[in-house]
Amino acid sequence: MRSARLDRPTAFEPDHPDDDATTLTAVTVMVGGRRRPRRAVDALDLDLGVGVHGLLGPNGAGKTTLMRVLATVLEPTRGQVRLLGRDVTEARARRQVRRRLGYLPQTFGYYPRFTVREFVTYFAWLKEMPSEGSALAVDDAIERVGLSDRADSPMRTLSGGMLRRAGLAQALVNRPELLLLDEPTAGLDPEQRLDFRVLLRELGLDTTVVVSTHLVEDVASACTRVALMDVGRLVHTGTPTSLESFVNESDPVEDPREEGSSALERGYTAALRAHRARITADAKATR
Amino acid sequence: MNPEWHLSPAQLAGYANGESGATEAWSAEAHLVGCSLCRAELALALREPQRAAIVEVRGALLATLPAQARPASHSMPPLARLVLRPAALLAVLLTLAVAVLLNLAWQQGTHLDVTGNGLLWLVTPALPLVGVALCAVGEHDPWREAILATPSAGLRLLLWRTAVVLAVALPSATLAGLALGNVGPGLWLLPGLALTTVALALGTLISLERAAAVTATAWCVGSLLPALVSSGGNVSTALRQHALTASYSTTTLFSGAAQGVWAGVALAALAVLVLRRHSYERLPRAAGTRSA
Repeated sequence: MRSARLDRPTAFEPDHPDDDATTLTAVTVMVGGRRRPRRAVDALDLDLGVGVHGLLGPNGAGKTTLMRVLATVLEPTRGQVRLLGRDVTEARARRQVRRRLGYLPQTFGYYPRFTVREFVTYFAWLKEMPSEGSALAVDDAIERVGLSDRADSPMRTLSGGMLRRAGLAQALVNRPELLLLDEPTAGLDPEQRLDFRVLLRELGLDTTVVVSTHLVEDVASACTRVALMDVGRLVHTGTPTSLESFVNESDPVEDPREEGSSALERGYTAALRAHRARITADAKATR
Repeated sequence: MNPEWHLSPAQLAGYANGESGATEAWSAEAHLVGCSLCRAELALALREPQRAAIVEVRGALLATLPAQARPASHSMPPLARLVLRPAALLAVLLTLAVAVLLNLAWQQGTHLDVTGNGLLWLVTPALPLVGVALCAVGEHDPWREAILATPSAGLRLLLWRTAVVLAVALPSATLAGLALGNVGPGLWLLPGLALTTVALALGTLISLERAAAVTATAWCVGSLLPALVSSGGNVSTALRQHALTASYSTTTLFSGAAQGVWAGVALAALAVLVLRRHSYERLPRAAGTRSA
């Protein structure tokens, strides 16, 4: 994976010149239709700046729904979404933001007739990149994810990890300013995971990267910030080491399952437990 | 930037032939690095063996470069491939071919002298729906979510794809009609466009694949209704009867009055489509439950 980067396209003006932050304000997303409505994201506030943000949380916490809202593919039921300084409820602003966005969804398949290069070229075209620079950008993206030797292989011949890297190349091709990766390390072998973390750290220097994951070690090694979610709410935000402060070392009740886990993993479970205990206490108090 | 002074022809010739001394060669090299004019002069001053050697070294260097350093512009897929899946167009042609062949087979199979081509009249207006359903960025697109996050997602991309489908469906249906002794697109064009627009408008409420299926089914049932009633609800008998007897003059759906209705339907559906166009840029909220 190479460190050289091509210049980004310009001509993007946020509403306020200095405000290109990504902010969610009181965002609520109801999913499941009218019959079984469920709050996947519940009055959530979030501020994101340049750097790698790890979005942690158990299954069903609402991570994917939140990623979809950030990717502009899901409209929140309530609340305001400002991406790169733009309110994306307006169609024109949404389209401008989408040019500067990279999104790797959690689930995907492949186009059987497309090669990796054709697939990434397709996305360069969908992202409205000028055609003269797109061939270089496509090659650059494929190289960054380490798929150059398979660039002309049909996608159906790729392994799961390679397919995910092809998906990552698609997300990177327009050199996004907001990069959203939903479970990007699933299916990668340990060596590829190390390469991926190097890439993440490099991207985080000038890009707002949000990585949803359930692997605490991904967060420890590559993220500058961490946001912990549980049942649609934000439990904790801070640096990865700030999670460790939730562990009470003098606490005599040690879960035997936690033996051999890292300080960060123990912090993760401790923060979740503390949050759930608080919720239960609040519920009792209001009853 | 080229410097103010330049190497003399004698100096260049001496350097090119390797006859200049070490100090003079270094100073010439230092100058050549920054002066494109003298580099051009040097290229002219070179003699054949050196020139061949340089070409050889250059070729060897380029060959060792990793492949990705050279953008492979030839691999850019043609626009049609970017616009939609070839399968969608093949399905359109296949549907048309099956309808024509079945109609011809039934004509041959009967001893009566019939020239009905009802299957063509049945299939043609609904033909674009087959292609539109297959090329939509819908539930079956494996990269639907990632595509929806791009600026191209939405009505514009859908209309481009619909236009490509129509560009294949309309001429091929016209040719099939001429081959079967038909009058061409005059009468089925408006119903066909109306059905396509209705499916696109309906696709803002339910998935486009389902919208196209619902519209096509409604059209087929409506067209076959007289035959279905007379055959007592037997679908294959009704199809055969429709194929052998129906033509544009016997079908009320193609009559002059009906054409006005089709135009109105198309305009109404177009209005709905434009008003609700943003639903093609987002995931439906109910679908957000699949993986949380």
